[in-house]
Amino acid sequence: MISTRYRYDTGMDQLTIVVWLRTLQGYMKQDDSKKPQRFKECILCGRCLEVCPLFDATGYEELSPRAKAFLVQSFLKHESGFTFEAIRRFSSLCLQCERCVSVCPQGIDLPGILAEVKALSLDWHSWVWGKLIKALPWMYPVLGQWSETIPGMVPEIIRKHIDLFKRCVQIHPWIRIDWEQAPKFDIKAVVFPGCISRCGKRLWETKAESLLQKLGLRLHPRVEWMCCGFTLGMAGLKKEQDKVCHYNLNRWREEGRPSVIIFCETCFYFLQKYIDYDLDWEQGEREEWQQSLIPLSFFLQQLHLTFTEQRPSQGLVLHQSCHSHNNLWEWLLKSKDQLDFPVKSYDACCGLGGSMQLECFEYTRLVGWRFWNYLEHECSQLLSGCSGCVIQLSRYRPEHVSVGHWLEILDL
Amino acid sequence: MTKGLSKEQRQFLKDLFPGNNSLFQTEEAYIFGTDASRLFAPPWAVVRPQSKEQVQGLLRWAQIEKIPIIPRARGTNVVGDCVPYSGGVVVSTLLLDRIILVDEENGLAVVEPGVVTASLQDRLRARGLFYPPDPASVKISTIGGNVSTNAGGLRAVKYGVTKDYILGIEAVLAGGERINTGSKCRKDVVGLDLTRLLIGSEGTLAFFTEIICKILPLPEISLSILVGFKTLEEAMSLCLQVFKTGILPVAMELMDEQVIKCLEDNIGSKDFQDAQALLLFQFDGSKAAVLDDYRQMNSLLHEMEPLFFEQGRSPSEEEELWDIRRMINPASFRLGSGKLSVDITVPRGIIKKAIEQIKEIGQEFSLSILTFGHVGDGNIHVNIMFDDGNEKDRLAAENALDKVLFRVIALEGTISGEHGVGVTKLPYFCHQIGNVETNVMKKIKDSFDPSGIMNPGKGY
Repeated sequence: MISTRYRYDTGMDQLTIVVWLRTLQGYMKQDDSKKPQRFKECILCGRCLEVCPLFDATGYEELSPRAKAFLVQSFLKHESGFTFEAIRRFSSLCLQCERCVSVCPQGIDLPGILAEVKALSLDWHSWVWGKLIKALPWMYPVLGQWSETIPGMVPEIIRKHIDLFKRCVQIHPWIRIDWEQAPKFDIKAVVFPGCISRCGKRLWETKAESLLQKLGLRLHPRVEWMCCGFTLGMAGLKKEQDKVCHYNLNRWREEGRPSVIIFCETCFYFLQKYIDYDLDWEQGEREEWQQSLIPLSFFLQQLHLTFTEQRPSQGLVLHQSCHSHNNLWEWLLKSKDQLDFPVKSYDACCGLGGSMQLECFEYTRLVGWRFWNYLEHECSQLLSGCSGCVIQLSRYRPEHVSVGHWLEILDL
Repeated sequence: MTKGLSKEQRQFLKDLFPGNNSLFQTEEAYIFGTDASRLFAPPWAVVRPQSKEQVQGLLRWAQIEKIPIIPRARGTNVVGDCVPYSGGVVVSTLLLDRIILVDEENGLAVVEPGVVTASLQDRLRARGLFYPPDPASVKISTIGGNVSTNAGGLRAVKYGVTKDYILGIEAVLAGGERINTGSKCRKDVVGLDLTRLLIGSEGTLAFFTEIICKILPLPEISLSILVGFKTLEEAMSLCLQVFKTGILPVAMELMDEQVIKCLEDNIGSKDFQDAQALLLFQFDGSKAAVLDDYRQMNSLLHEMEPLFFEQGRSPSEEEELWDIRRMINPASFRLGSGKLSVDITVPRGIIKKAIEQIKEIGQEFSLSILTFGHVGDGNIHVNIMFDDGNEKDRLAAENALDKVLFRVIALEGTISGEHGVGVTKLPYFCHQIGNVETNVMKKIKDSFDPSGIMNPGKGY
């Protein structure tokens, strides 16, 4: 179970909230000095100000990780004059990029704490987000069609998210693979495509399957996966997250524990984190699960690539998303001698922000715009390995820049 | 939250700073009541000007209404400069963040106060230019904040501190009048030097709206060296030898054995080989000059036989070494949840004596005291660590701090080399600065701010 025992409905009394919040110390690194064990507090050093995309885009200090950490800890220490609802409101204003965690000298997992705060008091945004994620694969295309044909039929807040897909344009392939030199992999595998591929980008999954089949992998028929669970947990939907984690793990077990090939970086990131949760693991199963997860980009590192005339001669940006593994682009950068056009790596946050799309759409848009402010004139194409980033970056891209998943540039 | 403001006053602020740019609710304004000092007092309101006209309107109103004004950038100072102890309106500079001009020909840049120092440096670097001041918080603090505290930094040995790179300031006085101090000229001796008065004034004289920074050509290359020693004596001996040899490093940073212990805990992968002291040097200039400095350093190091030394030749290798130095503040909390921090400075020749006396004080009070910092300038950061849940421990730390500061004053040193006085060092101010000098400062404050509304209770 993923902390669902700590979920309460709204309307709980203040004392219960405080008692519950004190259990959050699990999210803060334990002090390993000789001093008595105590949870670590934010020391207000401000290192998180350097990396928080929301603070960067708005200049609003109250939205910084430091501000939210200070709110929570002051509330816990009864030093504040505000209510739990105030913390709840600010807990929604986080893009869940987790960049602050990586620089925090105290090791505070603030996005994790804020997700727990949301879980404590779920509001309608979280509820709608949960339903959206659950129904994504069938609902998006249908609602998209409705919103086109009968304006006003789809509520504005939902229509904004359907529009996400409208600016996604398929990139023309410009990389060929030398199949004669390609190694063969005798592996039993299934593809984990992620929600976005299933709802609007089926081509990615088809391409991934085609690539893997050519490399000799023995692919199982498509598995009906659910959401990886990352965005549900960050929206405070701990029970739903728990359910999808169990569901996905059981599908893997039923398929005979094959390798799971993933092409969305955020899905890969969170599937790896399953082992941190109590999912009724069998003896040694955590290790087996961990080893079974393979990012699709791994296979490309083994291949000889050639570039066609369609390559983006005006400049290419390789996007490193917030949850990407470090060597995501090695497969492309190893062909440096063929990169006869400007190539730039860029690791800014796209601003998608999961349920923040519903809770504060305006801020996600500011972060999206900010991303392109830095890049607008530097490229004609941007590739990402995270499905969510592709959608969000397409939404705010300048007209002359095409945005896509790297799978799209493979000529299979 | 707004107990200090009337309904009409709040309405005035809402009209002048519409939408999200005026905050009144407790939770929204909460972070604006604190800074890296970890002290707290609630502000009455927070506003975010986007133009100098708004600043003028605000300060005109504040003078009439006698409302304290607390200028704030990113709140990274450690002496409580941004804590609104007298209540009042916190004025965030973060939406005044444009780099207005980079004038290569005249070697200057004009910026608004909310520009992050590292952003300016990055922008200049791309054009082969250089703004040298480099406080440890360079990636998170702003030019406005650096000027108001006269921030020092790592490169001060060779390049000096913030005040050496500020040619002029445009500021708004309490009452709303705008002043322009200094000029775009590199030399300007006309009249009293108001620019120097504003630099390091900790928000007590005026609100900055534009700053003219002096910039230099970017040095061709730089090189960093980290050296580990068996004893502090050996480290100090190398410092003296370096200056005697005629080498002028960009930076010369010392870390004592307690600091090394914290760093080892925080950066688990780094092996400091049981060193009792570390020195981190940086050299820059033309290739030939840096190579020559390196040859001389190498020969000194061979004579001294330190435990180890590591070089950073590429920017990424150098960054790795300097990240060690930047980790000290956060890593220090491994030795205690509470910290009293001062940045004392003594004449360079007696640093060793000062450090030894500080360590003795630590032993006397059974407290961990970290000493590290800009040994090339005689500027030593002293961190007294304690358990802030333990009242006895806290009292001991406060007594130790008293003793450290009085000892420094007795050694003809200063209680602050770069952080400023703020509120945390105010009780010690009168022990270093005489009555006559203090009165002169107060009269100067009266000339700038007759109603005493600019960041009251800070600095002097």
